[in-house]
Amino acid sequence: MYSVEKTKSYNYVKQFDYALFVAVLILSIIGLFVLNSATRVMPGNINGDRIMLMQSLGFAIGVSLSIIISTIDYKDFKIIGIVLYIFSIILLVLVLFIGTGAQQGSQSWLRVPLIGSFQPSELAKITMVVFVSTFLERIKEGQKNKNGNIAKFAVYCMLPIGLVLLEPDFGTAMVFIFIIVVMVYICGLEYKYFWGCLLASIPVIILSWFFVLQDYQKSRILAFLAPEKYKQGASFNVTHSITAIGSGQIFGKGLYQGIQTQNAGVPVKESDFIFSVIGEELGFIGAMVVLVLIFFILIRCVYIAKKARDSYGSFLVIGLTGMLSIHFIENIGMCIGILPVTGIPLPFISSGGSAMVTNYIAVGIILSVSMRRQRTIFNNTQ
Amino acid sequence: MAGASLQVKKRLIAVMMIFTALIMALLVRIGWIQLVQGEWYQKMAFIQQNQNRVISPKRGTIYDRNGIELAVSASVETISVNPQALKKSGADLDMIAQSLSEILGMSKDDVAKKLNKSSRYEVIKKKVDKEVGDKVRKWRQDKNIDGIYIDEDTKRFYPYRNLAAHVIGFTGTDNQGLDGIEAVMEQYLKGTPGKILSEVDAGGNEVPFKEEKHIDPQDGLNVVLTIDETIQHLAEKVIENAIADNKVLNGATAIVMDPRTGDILALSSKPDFDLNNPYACPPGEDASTWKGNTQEDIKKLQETVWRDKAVADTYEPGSTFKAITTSAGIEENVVTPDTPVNDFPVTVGGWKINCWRATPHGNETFAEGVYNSCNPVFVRVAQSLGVDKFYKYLKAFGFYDKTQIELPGETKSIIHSKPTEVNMATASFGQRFQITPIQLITAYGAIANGGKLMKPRLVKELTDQDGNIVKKFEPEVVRNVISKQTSDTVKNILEGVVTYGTGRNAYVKGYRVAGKTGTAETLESKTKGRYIASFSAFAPADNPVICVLVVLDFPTGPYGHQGGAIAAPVAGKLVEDVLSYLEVDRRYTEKDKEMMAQEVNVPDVRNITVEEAKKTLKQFSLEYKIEGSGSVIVDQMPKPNASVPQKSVVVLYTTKSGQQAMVKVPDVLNKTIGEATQALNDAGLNIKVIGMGTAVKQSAAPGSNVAKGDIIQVEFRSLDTE
Repeated sequence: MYSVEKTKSYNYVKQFDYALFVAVLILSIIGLFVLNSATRVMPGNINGDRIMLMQSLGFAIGVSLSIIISTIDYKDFKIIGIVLYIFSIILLVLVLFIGTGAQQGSQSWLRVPLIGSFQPSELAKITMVVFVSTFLERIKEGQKNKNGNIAKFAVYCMLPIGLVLLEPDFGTAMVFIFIIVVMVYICGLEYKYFWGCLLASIPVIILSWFFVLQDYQKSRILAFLAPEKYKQGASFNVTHSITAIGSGQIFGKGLYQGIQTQNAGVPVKESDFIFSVIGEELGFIGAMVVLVLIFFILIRCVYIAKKARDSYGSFLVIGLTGMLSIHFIENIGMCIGILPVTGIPLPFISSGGSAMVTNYIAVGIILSVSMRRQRTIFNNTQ
Repeated sequence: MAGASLQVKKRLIAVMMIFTALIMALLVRIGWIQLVQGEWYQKMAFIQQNQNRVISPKRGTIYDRNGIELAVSASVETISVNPQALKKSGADLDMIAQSLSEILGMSKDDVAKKLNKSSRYEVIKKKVDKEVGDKVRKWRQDKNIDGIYIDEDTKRFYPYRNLAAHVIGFTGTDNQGLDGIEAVMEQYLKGTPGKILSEVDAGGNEVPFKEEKHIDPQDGLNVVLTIDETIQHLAEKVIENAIADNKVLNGATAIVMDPRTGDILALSSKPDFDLNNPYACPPGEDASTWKGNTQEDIKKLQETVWRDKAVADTYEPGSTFKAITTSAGIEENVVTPDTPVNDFPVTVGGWKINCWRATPHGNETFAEGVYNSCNPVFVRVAQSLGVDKFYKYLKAFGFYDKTQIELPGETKSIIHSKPTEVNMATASFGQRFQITPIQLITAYGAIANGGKLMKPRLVKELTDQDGNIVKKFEPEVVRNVISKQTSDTVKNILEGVVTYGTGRNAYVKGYRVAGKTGTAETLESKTKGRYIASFSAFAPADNPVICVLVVLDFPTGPYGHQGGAIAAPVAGKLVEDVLSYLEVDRRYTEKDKEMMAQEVNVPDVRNITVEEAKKTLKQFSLEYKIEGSGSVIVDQMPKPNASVPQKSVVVLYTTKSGQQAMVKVPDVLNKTIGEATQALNDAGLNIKVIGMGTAVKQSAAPGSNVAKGDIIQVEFRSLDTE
C-alpha cells in the first residue's frame, strides 16, 4: 500500500510532551482527591472504598499505558488500528448479548473477570478515531478512489454508532457523532454540508421524539428546557447539583467538608455529578483551576494537531481531542444546568477505572503524535 | 508533504476558538452560580439538607380560663425502618415482622409489606406510647438489629375526652389542627420546628465526621380559653339529661356566656365525640363496616358528631325572639310595659295570626303580653315600628352578620334580604327565618348588659411556656344597640316571664332569672312532628352575670315539645348550678322565703332517747312514728339533713331489727303538689318538691318498695305554657 514514514533519531526524554502530561496528571490527582471526598459516604450498599481502589488502579495502569503508548510511533496505529477496531466491534456486538446495565437504561457494560465491568463503547471511541483517521488522511491527501474512501469512512463510522444505539446508549452515540463532526470539519468538508446536515436533522429529531426516545429521555430533555416545572422529576439531580455548586461560593467548603455533595443532596455524585463536589468543596477557585487545566489540555491538543508531522497525526489528535472536549464540556454543562443530562462522565475525575484507562490511552496516542511533531525551529513548510 | 495543510490549520484555529468560547461560557455560568447567587444557593442547600430532619415543636396547651388543661401534648414515639439496611444486614425479615407486629399490635402482613419495600425509610407505626417504644428499643437491642428507628413525636391528648369537644377540636396525624380552637389557633399553637444540622447521607445514616448542631424547636403558644371547665361540665350534664328525659332526636346545644364581656363560659353541642378518638364510629352507624377514614365516613362524622350545632346550625328562634321585638318597641317608644294591648287575631297579607293559646288572653298590658307570649301583640308592635325600623334593629342585634366567634364553620343566618310586611309580621315572633344559637345568645347578651352587642370571646389570651401572657384578646363591643334604660325595662319584663309567665319552669329560688321560651317549627313539623324547643335566659335579672341558651332539637318525650315545658327547666337548672358555682349570693323574695319556711332539715336524732327525740322533732315542726319498743333511737328515716316539708313524718327505729319497714310507692304523676304530698304521706313516705305545677317525674318508680319514711323526690312543671 504505502510506506510508513517514521521520525528518525529523536530523544524520548527530550521530546516528551511534559506540558500536556503534567496537566493531565494534575487534573487526575485533583480528581482522585475529589472522588475520595465524594465516596466517603455512599448511599445504600455501594462501597466507596472499592470505587477508590478501582480508580487508583485505573490511574496507575492508565499512566503506565500512556507512557508505553507514547513510545510507539503513531504511524504503527495505521496497522494496529485495524485489529483494535475489529476487536472493539466484536465487543460491541458481544455486549448486546451478554452485557449488563439494562435496568439503568442501556445494556452497555461487559463484566470481565479481574478487571470488573467496563464499557466497550469507551474503547470503541478511540479505536474508531485511530481507524477512520487513515481514511480521512487518504481523502485529504487526494489519493485515488476518493469516493470509495469516503464510503469506507462513512461505513466504519456508522458501524459502532449503530451498535451503541442498539444498547441503547444515546449519550455515547452523541459523543461518537460529535467526534466525527469535528474530524470531518478539520478534514475540510465544505460548510454547505454542515448546514445540510443541520436541516436534515430537524425531521430526524421530530421522528425520534415520537418513535425512538424513551420516556425517561424525553423527561430529561423536558426537564432541561423547563427545570422549574419538573423540579421533583428529572431535573431533581440538576437542581440539587446547581444548589451544591452555588453553595460553594468563592472558596468552597473545603475538601471533605461539602455538606450537600457528601450527603443526600446530589445523586450520582461520584460519577455524572462529580463536578458538583468540585464546585461545593473547592469553590469558584477550585472550579476555575479545573477549567483552566481542561482549557490548557484542549488547547495544547489542538496545538499538537496543528503541528503534527502529517495529516494522519492531525486527525488522530483532533478526533481524540474532540472526544475529550465533548466529555468535559457536556459533563460540566449538565452539572451547572446549561446542557441536558446525558450521563457522560468527566474524564480523569469521575469514578470508573476503565474510563480512566481509556482516557489515558487517548492521552498516550496524543503524546505519541506530539513527540514526533515538527519542531518550530525546523518548520519551513510554509 | 509534511505537516497539516493550510486549510486544516485554519480550521484547527477555529476549533480552538470554539473551545475557548465554550470554556468561557462554562466559567461565566459557574461564576454566576457561585459568586452572584452563591448566598441564595447556600440557603437552599441548608433547607434541602434539613428538610427531613426536623424536631417537632411542642404544641401549645389549651387551658380553660382557670388554667385547667383541656388539650395537652404527650410524648409518643414513631417506629420506622430502613428496609435496605435490613436487607443488607441479612436480618431475618420474617422474624422482625412477627416481633414488630406483636409489640405494635398490627397485622404481620402489613409489617412484612413495609419491610420488603426497596426504599430507605418506611414508617411502621406512628404515635405509639413510650412504653411500646421502650419495648421495641429493648427488643432491638436484644436481637442486635440495625435499621430500626424509634423517633420522638408528640400526640395530642384530651384529658376530658368529650368535654367541649366542638370548641377544642382535634389534630391530625401531623399534629395539625383540624377542628375547633386547634384549627383556628393553629398558627399560635403549632410552634416552629427545630432542625438537626448534623448531616445525613442519602441512606439516612448520620455522617460520621459531621459537626452536630441543633436549632431548638420553638414551642407553640398556649391558648387560654374563656371556657370554664366546671361550667362546661354543668352545661353538658344538664343537656345530656334533657336529651334523655325528652328523647331528643336531633341533638341539642347549650351556651353559657358572660354578657358583660361576651366571654363564652360554656358551649356544648350534642351529639359529641371523644376528642382522643374523633374518627370512632358514631352512634347509629354500623360499627362492623365503619372505617372512619373514608370520604363517606368523614362526611357522616361531619354531619353528626362533629357538627357544632351552636354555630353551624340555623334554626327558627321562635318566641325567644320576642325579646328582640320587645327591645325595639321599647327603645322606639312605640310601647311601654303598661301599654294596654290585646291578643285578638291580626291579619297580615291574608294571613291570620292567633295567640298560641286556644282561648286568647284578651285585654292585657304589654308586659303581660310578653309574659303570655301572645303572637298578635308582637305583630302589632312590629307594625307600629314599620319594616325599616324593625329590620334596623335586627341588623343592629347582629342577626345579619356572623358573630366572628373563633370557631370554624360558623354559618350565616337565613334572613330576609328585602323584607315585606308579611315577613316582618312572622319575624316579630321569631318565625320564618333562621339564625344560629350563637347569634341569639349574643343578642340576649346585649339586652342583659345594658345595650352593647359584644363579640363572643372564646380565647382570652396566649401564653408562652413560662406562663407569660404574649397576647391578650380584649372584649370587643360591636355596637350599641339599645339604651341602658331600655335594657333595664326589658330585663324587668323578661324576669316577669319567668316569675309569672310562660317561663315559670325556669324559676330558681333566690336567683332572679329572666328569660324567654321558644318553640320553633321546622320544615318537618307537620310531617314528622319535629319542633325545636329553646329557652334563652340571663340572671340575676337586675345585674346579669350569665346568659344561658338551651336548644333542644326534635324532642319526642312525654312532656311535649314546648320550650316552656322542657327547655325552661333545663335552663333554670343550669342557671342555678352556674350561679352557685360562681358563688353569686342568693337573694330570696318574700314568696321564696315563705315557700322555704315550709321546708326543714331533718335533725340527727340517733343515739338519744325517744323522749329527747320527740322534743327535738317538735322544735323542727316534724311528726314522728316509732317502730320498735326500745328507749333509744338507733336509726331514723329520712336520714339527718334531708330537706323535707314541715309536718313530714320521721320514722324512728328503736331496735336494730335489721329489717326496715318497707312500703310501696304510690303513683303521683300528673297530680298537683298538694295531691302528691297527700298520697305519699298516706303511704308513709315523705316528699321533696321540685318546681311547680303538675308532677312529671318521681324519683322512685310507682309500685317499687322503699323504706318507710323515705323521701320521694317529685318534679313538678307548669305544662300550661308555650
